[in-house]
Amino acid sequence: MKISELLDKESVFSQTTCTSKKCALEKISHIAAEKLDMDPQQLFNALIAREKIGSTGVGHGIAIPHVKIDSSHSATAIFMQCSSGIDYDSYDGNKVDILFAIFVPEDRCKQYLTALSEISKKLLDKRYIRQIRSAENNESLYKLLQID
Amino acid sequence: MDIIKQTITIQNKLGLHTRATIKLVELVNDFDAKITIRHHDKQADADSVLGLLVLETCYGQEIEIIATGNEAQQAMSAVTQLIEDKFLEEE
Repeated sequence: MKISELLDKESVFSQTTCTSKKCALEKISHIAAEKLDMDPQQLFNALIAREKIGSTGVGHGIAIPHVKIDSSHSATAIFMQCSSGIDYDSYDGNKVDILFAIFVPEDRCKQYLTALSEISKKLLDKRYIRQIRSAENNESLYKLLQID
Repeated sequence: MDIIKQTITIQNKLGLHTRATIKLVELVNDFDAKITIRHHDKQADADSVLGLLVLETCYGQEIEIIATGNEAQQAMSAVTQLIEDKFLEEE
């Protein structure tokens, strides 16, 4: 599963104002709910429940919040770059300013791992991360994320 | 410097997903050792969550663990134990 298959222009947000982890996950829930035609509160509750098991902060200012959704929906993702770092309880203690949220049908675990692998490969590139952090608008961020 | 290698099968249902990789990285950071994980043609240092996620390792697949450093043996024992314990996940 390519990242470009999960993201469309309406799923990518640069320089977003987020004051907290809760604030960021609320925004993501509302955007995803519109795409998936689901209840935003239900998605938010699921994201929070997942964070309670353990933070999805993967270090270096990056988080990959994720939930499984009903098999009747298609997999989707939201990419949000925040204008400043937020406390996220990441294992390395760093604040998070890049969130890649994944919503994958519960019967497609393999697709989820493939999507994780694809985005992780990109986010390991420090030069690429710098470009993402300095993207001035949603369109330029979207173009960056289309690079395979 | 001694190099210790061991091959082990991933036994938790979700494989090396986010929560499991974070547990692995936190564990490895407790030791004076460098751990590398190999899966198929990819390899990653076990101190990087993103690096481990790139490996895309599922349930039932084999990985090779390579340990070096002063506490290589202890680190290897701890890592293999975590994998055998299914990363403390229920299934």
